Amino acid sequence: MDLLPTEEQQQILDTASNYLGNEFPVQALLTTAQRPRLNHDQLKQLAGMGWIGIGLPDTLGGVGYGLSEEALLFAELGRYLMPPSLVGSVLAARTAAVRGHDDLAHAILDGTLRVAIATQQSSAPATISPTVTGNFLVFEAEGADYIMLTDDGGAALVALSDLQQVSQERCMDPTLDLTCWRGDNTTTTCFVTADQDAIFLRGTVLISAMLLGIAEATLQRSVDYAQAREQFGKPIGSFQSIKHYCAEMSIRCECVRAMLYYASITLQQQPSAGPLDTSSLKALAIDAAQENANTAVQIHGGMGYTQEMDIHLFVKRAQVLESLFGSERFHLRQVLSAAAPP
Amino acid sequence: MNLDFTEEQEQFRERVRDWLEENKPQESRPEDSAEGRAFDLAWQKTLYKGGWAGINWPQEYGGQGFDTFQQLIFLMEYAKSRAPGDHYRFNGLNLAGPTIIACGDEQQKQTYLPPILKGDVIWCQGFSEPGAGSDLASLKTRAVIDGDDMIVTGSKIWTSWARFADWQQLLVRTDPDAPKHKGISWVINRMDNPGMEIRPIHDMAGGTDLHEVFYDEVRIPVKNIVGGINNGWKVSMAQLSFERGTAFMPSQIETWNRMEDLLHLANQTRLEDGRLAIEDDHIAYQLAKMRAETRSLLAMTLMGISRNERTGMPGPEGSMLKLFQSELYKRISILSLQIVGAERSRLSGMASEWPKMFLGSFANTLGGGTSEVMRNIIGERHLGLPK
Ligand SMILES: Cc1cc2nc3c(=O)[nH]c(=O)nc-3n(C[C@H](O)[C@H](O)[C@H](O)COP(=O)(O)OP(=O)(O)OC[C@H]3O[C@@H](n4cnc5c(N)ncnc54)[C@H](O)[C@@H]3O)c2cc1C
Repeated sequence: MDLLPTEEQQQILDTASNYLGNEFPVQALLTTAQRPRLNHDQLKQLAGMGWIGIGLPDTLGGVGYGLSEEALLFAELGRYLMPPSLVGSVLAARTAAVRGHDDLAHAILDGTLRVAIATQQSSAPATISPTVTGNFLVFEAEGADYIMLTDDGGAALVALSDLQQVSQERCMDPTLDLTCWRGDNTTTTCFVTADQDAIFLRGTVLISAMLLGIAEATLQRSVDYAQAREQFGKPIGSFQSIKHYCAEMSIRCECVRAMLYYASITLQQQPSAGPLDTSSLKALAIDAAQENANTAVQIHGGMGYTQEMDIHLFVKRAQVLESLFGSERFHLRQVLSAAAPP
Repeated sequence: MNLDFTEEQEQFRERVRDWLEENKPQESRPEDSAEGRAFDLAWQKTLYKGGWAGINWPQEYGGQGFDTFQQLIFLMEYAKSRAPGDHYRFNGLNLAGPTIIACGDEQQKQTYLPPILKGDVIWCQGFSEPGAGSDLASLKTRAVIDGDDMIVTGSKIWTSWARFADWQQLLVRTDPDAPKHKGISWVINRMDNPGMEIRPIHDMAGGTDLHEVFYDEVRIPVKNIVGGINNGWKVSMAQLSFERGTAFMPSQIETWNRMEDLLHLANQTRLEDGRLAIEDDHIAYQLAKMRAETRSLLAMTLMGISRNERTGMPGPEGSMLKLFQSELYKRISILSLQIVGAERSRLSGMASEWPKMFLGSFANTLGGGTSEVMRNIIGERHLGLPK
């Protein structure tokens, strides 16, 4: 038993973190165009480093690591506000590969094809089966070829050209493109049931990892600011109300990181504990990201309320990520009905 | 990153499980304090005879010298079997004993360690004073050297189990002129020493295990100082190095057990309006949230243990787990009152364990460092925020 990254895993994490820090600093979003966060060439570059196929077995054309490595990578992607459509790419490659669409999987794995990610509109539930019907709110459809649609019953990969665009929307998160699309008994390119492969639960883990990245990034910014900003002749971090906010934020990070590691293992090894752990993880990750980001605004004072700092981007992203792969309420329902693990 | 145990470790788990199944007391621990003491000592004797006493103590002092994973497995199985908690045995096994192992001289080790493991004695801790709670280092109980003895005068408060204890780890001020952390000594004191007066305090949960202890020119041999005169602050910090992640295993599993019991209760208990408690959205939401948090407590404990294993040092997880667990436990107990409804007022009868848990839960966010002090420690030592 060892619930920390191995040396090899730590290396994956460090490499990702360094690369993202150099190529995709969050600061850049304050001065340059905020969209797209990831253009076609950049996606190909990430794909070239094996990031899309990192958790896919090599027999299926992937890099051959597992969900734990994928989760480590996505925590870093979340920290750098990289688009959640990357989760779409990872799951799409898996769905295609599991279904034997090797060429399609390959084109997704090398970044040739772009995949968007969607959530159902809460007012009108959709059906996701070998055909899809209903309205979907789609992130990053701009320039995408496919779209990944999932719910707890299964996962569908659909060509965007087979769906109809209903509208262009404004996204709360200015770094993301948001549109509304409709399917009407639309045939999917491939469909995998939850029993065949836990695509939805894997996506839940990866989105949770991105939420952890937000929770940690906003903690780090808050601690730095609390040390630097002075009022009443001392750093605001010496005031207990600020210090105790930070302490609570750091516990949330510890809690979600531990749960992320734990669930990334149990989902692969103990299918019976998978749903309890994965849903616990997502519920806790949503809470941590949102509480930490929202608290970070308060700690930064008036500056936190402006677009001159990046805090607002994390606040907004934390909301977007709750809408993908099940809300807090959805996952808490699952937590409540899950059987106790052995 | 893995949750695997070796085949050898799994065999060890079997051995622990079987032994506990056969040997754990069948009756529950008596509520009466004197009977509780007898019960605890008897159980310790059974553990000793079975070869399970002092799982984290080195073998040369009669302990089992288990490695971290064996300790972890033992504690998991122990808690799962719902064998009795440490109760009065806590201090000797987890605080005084380990401190003597770390800082005591040979004579002290020979004299004081074996009786703890054999279940002959109970220890208590005389640290806090009326004027020195969170600010422990401001303690005033004075010890004046007089030949081979110290003469101790002052008072302690919140001494758990004092009137049922045989020995005590006591912090006294041996140098009133030194800076406050530098003039303290850690000494061993007999609880039947002349000049002491012990008065029980009634706690809000109805217990009388807390005490005030008064010292009026009490003579304690100088040779009972552990770790050197005026070195007591460092000695008491040495205890912390024993508080590796495994120390949290029992309370983590206890919290999980209570959580699962409460979930079970919510599936059976009807509210005033006839619905099952679990069907109430507000209750369901909170139950689910706390179940998720309780699950993460296990993951946090294991991550903490892994970190200790790698660095050999206790990390920030100690304060984090203490704070997280004690606050969560309190919230679970408060939620239970909503589920038992009007039964909340009854301290007798079937559902009384829940209001009792509620009353008792306040102890954990105070004792062993308050939640606020834990947040200070996390903010200052772990995050590096200024004092
Ligand atoms: C059930 C129980 C068992 C105990 N057993 C023992 C025992 O066996 N031996 C022993 O020696 N002691 C024991 N204690 C004492 C325990 O360690 C103290 O109660 C604890 O350290 C707090 O001290 P205090 O009660 O004086 O509260 P105070 O220190 O007076 O605190 C009062 C309030 O002020 C807050 N506060 C204090 N300082 C700060 C600060 N710097 N920043 C922010 N907030 C602050 C506290 O958090 C608390 O809310 C026990 C206590 C309990 C409740």
